[in-house]
Amino acid sequence: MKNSDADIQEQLRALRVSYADQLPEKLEEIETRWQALNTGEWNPAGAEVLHRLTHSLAGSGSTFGFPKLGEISRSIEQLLKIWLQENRIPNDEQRARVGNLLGNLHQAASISTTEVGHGRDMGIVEQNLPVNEEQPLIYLIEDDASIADDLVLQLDHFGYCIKAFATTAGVEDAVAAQRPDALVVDINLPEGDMAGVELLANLQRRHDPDLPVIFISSHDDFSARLAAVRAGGEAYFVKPLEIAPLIDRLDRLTRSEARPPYRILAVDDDQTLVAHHALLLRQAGMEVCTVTRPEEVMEALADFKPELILMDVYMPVCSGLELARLIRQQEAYLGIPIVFLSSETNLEKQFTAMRMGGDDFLTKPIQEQHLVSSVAVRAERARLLNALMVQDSLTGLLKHTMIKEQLAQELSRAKREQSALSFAMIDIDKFKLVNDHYGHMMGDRVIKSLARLLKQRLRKSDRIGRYGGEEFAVVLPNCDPDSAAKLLNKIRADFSELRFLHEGKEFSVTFSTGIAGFPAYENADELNQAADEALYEAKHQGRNRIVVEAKQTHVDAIA
Amino acid sequence: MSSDTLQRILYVEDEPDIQAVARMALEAVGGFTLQVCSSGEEALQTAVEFAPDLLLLDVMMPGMDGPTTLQELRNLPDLANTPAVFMTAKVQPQEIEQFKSFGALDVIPKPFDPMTLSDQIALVWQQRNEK
Repeated sequence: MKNSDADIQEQLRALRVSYADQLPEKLEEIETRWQALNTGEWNPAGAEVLHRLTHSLAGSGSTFGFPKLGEISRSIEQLLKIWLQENRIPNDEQRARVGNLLGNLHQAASISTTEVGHGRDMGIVEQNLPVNEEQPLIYLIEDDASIADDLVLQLDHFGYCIKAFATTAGVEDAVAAQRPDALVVDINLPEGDMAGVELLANLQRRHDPDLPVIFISSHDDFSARLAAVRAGGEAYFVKPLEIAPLIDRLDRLTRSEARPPYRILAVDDDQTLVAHHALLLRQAGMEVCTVTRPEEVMEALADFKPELILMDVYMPVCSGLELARLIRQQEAYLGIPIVFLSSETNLEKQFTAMRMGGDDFLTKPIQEQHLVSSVAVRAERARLLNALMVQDSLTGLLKHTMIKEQLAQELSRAKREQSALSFAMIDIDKFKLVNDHYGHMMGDRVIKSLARLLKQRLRKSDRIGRYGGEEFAVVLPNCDPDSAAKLLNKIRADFSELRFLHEGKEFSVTFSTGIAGFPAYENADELNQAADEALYEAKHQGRNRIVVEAKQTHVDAIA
Repeated sequence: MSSDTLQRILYVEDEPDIQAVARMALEAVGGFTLQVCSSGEEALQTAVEFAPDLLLLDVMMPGMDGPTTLQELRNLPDLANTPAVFMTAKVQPQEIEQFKSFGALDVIPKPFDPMTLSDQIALVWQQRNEK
């Protein structure tokens, strides 16, 4: 007989508690055996027992929520195994190493014991982590407690802050107190079959007509859907809920305002005019950098990284046409649209300007609205084209070549600034089985979920790429490998708790990560190779873990 | 020959706490019928009567270890061809191959996740059928 999920969780919790209860006794026995081996004569039989005890902890620790304990036990077990196999008596230094590990073992047991119950990775102290902190606030109105609990947990993994309500009571006060970034509302509530829709209509009328809302419902009929649309629902999901599409929608709803402004470089020798154009564009929400001397353009291009250049044709020193050619002769700037702005009305001359590398020609004096929309439309298209060129279509992450380019770029910056840098290779565990078992659509969904989680949880300065099928690469500037490991370990733990739904059956997926850092590894190829080796090691150690490739001979693992 | 659906699993493991969590993972989560044995000897006594579809064996046990237990089980009537899976905390690639050469379908690494163990086993079972 299969039991309900809540039931299983409860049993699991009980088992974890009982395991935690027995731990002190087990550690005590290990300690005693070790002391006996060290005070008396070294004897293989005693070492054998100790090996079995540590081996058992290595195999059970993380199952019961003590991953760190498991790892340390494994280190001890491996040392003992070598000594036993080679019939060796350890020297003082080797014994001291085991002594230290035993100390850590006690510590790992005590750290985790206080937090038994969540199955989370507790061996890592999570403070001072470089984390992207913005958490959109979501109000969830759902009367089914098990669904509500599950959503709170799952959305939390994706970086949302959720406040759950079992009925409509109190929702209005909460909205008045703090406007949520979005609402997720069950249509059918204890108050009535359409209570969710009515609640929302009230909220929108009294508080905010633009309150974004997603409806969830156990009904999939036309009238319920229509009611939801009329109540301004942005989306409608039928239970059982699939988390990935819901997150997709929430991301779009809550992040629309976070869309970065267009970056425009305005070049004109007429200071007043360029200031005027800049003002117009800024009022429309764009970011503008102005340059009045053509010779400063190169620097502005490199520093400001504009998405579009707005340029006067007639300037002293060099004309706009020459400047356009000069810019276009550098491969990196081949894709930036250049819009000429001039009083030139002669069509022939305008075409000449375009041949020189201009994309469009606006004539002065230009209507304010015309300038703003011309620039916005072109910047948007440039952004889309650029995305197509550099981004992986499935995930929106950087393509293989782009992330390698970013690694090289960030590495030379790290060398220049003498700062740390980490490079991480991430690979979804047993991904082929996901595809084989659940189909490629599901596989794609898993890949997208991880991509999204990485985007949400890594820092803005981190560069994330899809390296290959189920392989990702991350460049973390100003971050040493240990901090990178902590950051990614949190993501690893959360990802492993995400549940995917396939034909009514849930499953979860894990990933492994290998990390290498500068200055331990000095060039991009070495970093790449070292991270790859660490990833390989992580896979060997049983997957769902992070391995940092240290320059020394040994490898540190956390999981 | 064994049937196509996996229902009955004979599980040999000496650790009581691992037994408990695996029992939960396989019975409560996976819905399998499980017979737990705490040693190879016990497995040899119960195996024929229980008639398992699959053998699941811990590798390292005091007394008779997993590979030896499997060898002995193979000598029993009806168990010569019963698919077997090892579980162990040590999984180096060459060791996996070695365990497979003892007649195991696959090796499941410990520590295992109680919520996914039965899926892992179901997958091994399914792939066996595909071969």
